[in-house]
Amino acid sequence: MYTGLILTVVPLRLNDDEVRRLNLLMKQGRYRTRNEAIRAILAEGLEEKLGEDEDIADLVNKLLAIRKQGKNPISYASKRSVLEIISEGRE
Amino acid sequence: MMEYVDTNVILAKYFPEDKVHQRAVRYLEQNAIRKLISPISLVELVAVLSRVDPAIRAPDELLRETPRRRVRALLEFLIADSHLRVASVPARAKLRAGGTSFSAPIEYLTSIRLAHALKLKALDLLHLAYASNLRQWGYEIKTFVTLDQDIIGRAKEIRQETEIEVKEPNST
Repeated sequence: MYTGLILTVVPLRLNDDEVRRLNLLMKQGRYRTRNEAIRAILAEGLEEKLGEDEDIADLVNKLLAIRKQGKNPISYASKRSVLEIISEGRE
Repeated sequence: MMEYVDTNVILAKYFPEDKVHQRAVRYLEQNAIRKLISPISLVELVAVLSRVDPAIRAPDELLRETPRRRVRALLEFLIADSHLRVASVPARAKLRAGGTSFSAPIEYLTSIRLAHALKLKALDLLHLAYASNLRQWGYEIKTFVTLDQDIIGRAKEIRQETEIEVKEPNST
């Protein structure tokens, strides 16, 4: 399943209740091993916390830094007015 | 002072050739006003930013990004640049239609109620519903700031229904 990936071993301490619940997930047939269960649950948690936009903060900060210099970092050139563009989406 | 800001005002700040640009800039740069937007504003901003993406003028670093990440970054920039705060109320409503009961964000119920009196477009109603519900939940929103002439034309009815004043950015 993980062929080709370089995996790092991370020591992890779990309490009895966490181990019991992981075992329950395997008993239910949802995961084959505790390792697989932990990785899947971790992946869900990371996705929820970070999504795929985890590193846009630097980009946003660079735009804000340009703004602080009194310049407008972004603008749009359009023959249509803002109101026309917005109204089109509200029709 | 707390005001709900319509999407058209936020975006006008980044269309320098638009006749409403300067009014939007002057309004959005007033730091004394606490400016609120809602989840529907986020949807609308992302929708518009995605549609106008080919017309963007921006630093190369931003242009090299995928459109998805560019729009995501722009959304965060727009919110920070104008000191906007995203707010919503944690309430849902039970609706009934087509013989089925279902749960939906309370703004849907408010929008349906407002539709009869205001006769505006669905997204206009949703913005007003968010502003109205935020007000009822303790946010001291007194004004809905917009450049939309349909909404401005219903200012009297909106005040009667929601106790919120409708204003253009140059009059606040």
